[in-house]
Amino acid sequence: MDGLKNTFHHSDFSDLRRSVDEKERQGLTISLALPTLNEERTIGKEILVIKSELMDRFPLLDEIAVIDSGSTDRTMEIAARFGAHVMESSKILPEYGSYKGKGENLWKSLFMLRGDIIVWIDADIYNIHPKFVYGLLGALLFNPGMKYVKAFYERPISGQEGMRTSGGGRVTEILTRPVFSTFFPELAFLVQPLSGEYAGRRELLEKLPFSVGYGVEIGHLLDIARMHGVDVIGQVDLDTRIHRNQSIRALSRMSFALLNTVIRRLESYGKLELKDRIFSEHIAINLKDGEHVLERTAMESVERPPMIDVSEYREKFGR
Amino acid sequence: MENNLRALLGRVPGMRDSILSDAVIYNQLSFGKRTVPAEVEFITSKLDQRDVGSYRVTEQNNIIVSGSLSDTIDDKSLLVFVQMGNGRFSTADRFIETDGERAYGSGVAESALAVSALLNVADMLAGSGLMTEHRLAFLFAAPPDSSERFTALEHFINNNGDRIHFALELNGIGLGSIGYRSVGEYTFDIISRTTLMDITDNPAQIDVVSAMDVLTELASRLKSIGWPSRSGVFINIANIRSNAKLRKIPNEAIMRLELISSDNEHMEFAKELLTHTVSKLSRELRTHIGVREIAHVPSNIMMENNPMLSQILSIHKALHLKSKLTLINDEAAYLLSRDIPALSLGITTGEVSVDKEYIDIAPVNTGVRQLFYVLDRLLGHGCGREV
Repeated sequence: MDGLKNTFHHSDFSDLRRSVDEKERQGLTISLALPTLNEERTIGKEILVIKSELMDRFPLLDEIAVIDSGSTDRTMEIAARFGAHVMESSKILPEYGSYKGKGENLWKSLFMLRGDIIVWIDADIYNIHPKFVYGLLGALLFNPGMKYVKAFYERPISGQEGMRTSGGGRVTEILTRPVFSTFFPELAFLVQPLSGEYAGRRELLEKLPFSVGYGVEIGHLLDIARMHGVDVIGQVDLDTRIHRNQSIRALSRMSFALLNTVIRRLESYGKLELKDRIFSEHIAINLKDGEHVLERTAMESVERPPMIDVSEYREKFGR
Repeated sequence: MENNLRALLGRVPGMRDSILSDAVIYNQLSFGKRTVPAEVEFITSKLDQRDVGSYRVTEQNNIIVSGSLSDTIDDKSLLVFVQMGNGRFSTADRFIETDGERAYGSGVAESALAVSALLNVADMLAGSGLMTEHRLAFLFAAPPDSSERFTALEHFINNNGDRIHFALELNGIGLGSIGYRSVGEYTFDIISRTTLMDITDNPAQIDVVSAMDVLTELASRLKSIGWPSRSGVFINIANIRSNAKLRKIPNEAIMRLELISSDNEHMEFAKELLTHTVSKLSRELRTHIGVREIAHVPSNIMMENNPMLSQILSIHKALHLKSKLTLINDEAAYLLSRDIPALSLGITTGEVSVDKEYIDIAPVNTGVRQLFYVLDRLLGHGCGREV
């Protein structure tokens, strides 16, 4: 049985003074961004905990930003109240238009953030802890060859009936792992390739295209592995992440977006030749008034170009 | 020295987010039976991380932060303490949510905020040199055992009681309240065991009493006793639980019962009456009823004329806090019962009810300032005069 390569535990990096010293020695700036859409229940405490511990007490982070894609609740207000720099995705690079989706937020955050290292974490973490950030950063700070680090963890699910000890990672096990095993076995060492917490070096991130929707994470992994090999990808065990449960319908749409991204990559890498176009509508079946009806959802399949190809970016960062 | 304290007071506004952040993480710990309890591990790791080296963890899992590392605290010490734990809530209920004005979550007001506030104050004062010079000690008391409520605290007091000059207990909420007196309280677990019955076995068994029948009958008899109003005796049935299963009539049940009175003599009489009623019912129903004493705190008014009360009232006035003299918590009441002068103070405002628990965020700074001024008065400095 093979072991997992490039795999760390967050406790390897719990000496925060050492991490701050290393960051300063390397002369790096580090940014954290949280992509949001209606996360008023959890955004406040995420910013509170991370800012208090990793900016105020141990200056590991130079900025914390929230990139919002149109929340209708108090997400932006609460984030600002706790000291995050809050930005609306649609107002960043407006001349390039705006799409709804996590990948769109991440792409635009790359333009707005100033860090040499960027950390992204989801904004729906119930059990937020500084390790979600310092674990990822430690792997990059102390391993110069590492360019992109993903989180993995156990994922008990919090629901109305309390905590359930299993679950989560369903899309990974049912779709992503079989896809990796079939086409990209070199990436199969990743425990949770779709985790929403990861960090990367700007010099790498700016050269990646970004799917605007759910396909952004898998797209990154495939492109990084192709461009640099898998040795630049690491993963950090963060123990446990507790978040709200997603419906099977939502997971189905997510799987659709992932599949779309994978097929496009397979084609562009020359691994697969499509004889016909692929479709961009997710089709679900609903039971309505005792009858089965088809429900079609248009899924955004747009890919943003590598940020390095955007002139405003090159100008801002002197590239 | 005064300059030191003044400098620290200037840093109080910056403490709020650190206190809240620690409270968020503390409140989501997985409490449970472990060699080193999660709360002890959390607090000691924070103390280590913040270079507060002068602490020790006792066998009972009390964490003591003081100027020295000896087994006992210095003579004539000022003790500030909190009680750790919150295991009675599920982890899911304890996850804190905040809207910027309040922080919600089971346990945040009852325990997490006070623990976190003391942790941050200890961090600040340990670095200042004040603790060593002024015999200041902080205690994170181990969570109460389900059957012996004050075991850990009792152990600490047995070793250090005669060295404590004055004690302050921190509460999460109740900012403005000054706990200064205790009513007397006995806590009992009353255990009933009967024969296990399957509801479908035999209809004749329906006449046989279940463990729950026994306890509810006992509760009813105790509540119907006509206590003289001047006795102030109150019988509080905190909870009743049983081993009820589907189609099985419970054969084991436990009732947590508290006898409360401000008059110690009446409370002793109430205890006798309880024992008598239990024996009588046991004979009548031909079943065994066990009585286990969990805790006893006598009524105490020794702080009534303590000069610190008026000093704290003046501090509250200067901080524009509405003061209220209230009953002290059970843990601090235990100290009073051991003749240790003790008061309790709140850190912020908030609410604990059956379906809601929250703290208000903004007043946390005022609560910490209050604590600093009270410490200053107790340590005999001049900084408090400038409130």
